[in-house]
Amino acid sequence: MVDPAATRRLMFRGLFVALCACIIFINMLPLTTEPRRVPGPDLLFCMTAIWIMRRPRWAPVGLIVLVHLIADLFFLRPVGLWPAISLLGYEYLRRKSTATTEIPPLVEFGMAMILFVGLVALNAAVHLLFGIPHPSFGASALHVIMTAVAYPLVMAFSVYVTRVRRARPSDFDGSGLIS
Amino acid sequence: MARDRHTQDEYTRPVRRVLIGVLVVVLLAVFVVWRIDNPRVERLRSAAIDKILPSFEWALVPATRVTRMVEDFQSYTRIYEQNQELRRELQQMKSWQEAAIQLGQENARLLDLNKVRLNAQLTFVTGVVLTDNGSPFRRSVLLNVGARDGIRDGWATMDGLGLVGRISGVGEQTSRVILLTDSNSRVPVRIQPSGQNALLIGDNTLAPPVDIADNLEDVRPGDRVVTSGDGKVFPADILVGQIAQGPNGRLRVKLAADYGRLEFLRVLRNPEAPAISSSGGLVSPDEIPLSEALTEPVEDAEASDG
Repeated sequence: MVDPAATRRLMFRGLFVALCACIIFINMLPLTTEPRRVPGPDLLFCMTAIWIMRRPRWAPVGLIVLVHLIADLFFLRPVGLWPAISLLGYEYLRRKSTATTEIPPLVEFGMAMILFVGLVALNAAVHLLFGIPHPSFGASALHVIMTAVAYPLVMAFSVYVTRVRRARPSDFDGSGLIS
Repeated sequence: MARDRHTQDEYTRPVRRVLIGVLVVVLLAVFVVWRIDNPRVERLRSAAIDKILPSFEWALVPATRVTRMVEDFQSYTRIYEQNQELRRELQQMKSWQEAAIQLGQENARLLDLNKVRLNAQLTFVTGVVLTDNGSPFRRSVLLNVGARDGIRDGWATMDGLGLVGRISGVGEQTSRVILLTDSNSRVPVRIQPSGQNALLIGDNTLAPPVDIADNLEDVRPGDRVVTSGDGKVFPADILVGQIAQGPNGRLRVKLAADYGRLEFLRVLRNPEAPAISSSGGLVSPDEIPLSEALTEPVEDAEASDG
């Protein structure tokens, strides 16, 4: 007999990959080939962070790394650097979200953004260390601001459209694990 | 319930932490390999894109079409201003047309006198733009022509009018064009009519600045900018754009190619282009004396980042 919780988890993992693929796909559409004044938000980070903090088991490490590596290949970034750096951040969020059961949305937003700033700074530092050209401070700051603007929207989408919410008592299976 | 979760955590956490650590180290190793053996990993990158992207082509084309249609629809709101603008431009164009016809006749006469043959080696392959690169900080597009169609690294790419960029990364069915606006793009150019050599430096804006090697005073806004052919990366005399003066007095180039709508691009066949096999191999040994004239005669698009 198939465990319904396991099927659901599998379904949502599939949904996670599909949404990430959509984000990469949308980013790559040649809508405008002119340089944009304002760099777009990092939607992939927003989504992964939101899913991890709500349902850690629906966004397993393997999938996150896979998706980020593919994004690296497509976005012409140094291969492997951002997945490594962001994975550290995601794991920190994962620990936080299992230790405390309830995080108010505002605190969650603040936490994710402070973390994102840290990760971007670390990324820039490694770029500097290895002598790889990095976009200017202003462009990076705008990138962070755009990500902060996009975060609540992605959060609303995840909660209301794809129904990725924190586990409630009814979601716990017999052995007391979050399904 | 809570106790159970706690005990499970105690079992899995140390193992998990080690696994995450290993994963991070592996990813960093990939990054270091990318940094050290750049051309090989970049080839791997184009091969991966070549594998994945064509399977999405069915979705890319209509999605792009629809969004562009929406944009076109939005432009209806400004139709009156556009109409006025077009009338003014048409007026100017008429005078230019007159000049062009006269020049064309003169040119035909001179060519006839000279019995000049145009360079038969300079043929081109036309490709359709599939995607841009998605990263907010890089400027490149992907074409649907690749090694299959004989495309090679380093060839120049233009739209109908002016230079657009340079092929960097060729897959079997796709190839990547690093645009002139990318911050890694460096192209040797010549400014006409003064004949000054300069370097066009991409900086993520629509009008990249030029670094002029010799005499700044001879260059005026409105001068034509063409490729110089130095370093044998590009054929000479491809139109790049016009000199314009930025707000802070810095000379920039208004690009002739229509960067707003890159749809079909021509890749110029250039059999002389040297193959790139290792990092730092962009400058072939016989170019070294030339590179003393300019600080960096060829663009370095391979050592790239996001």
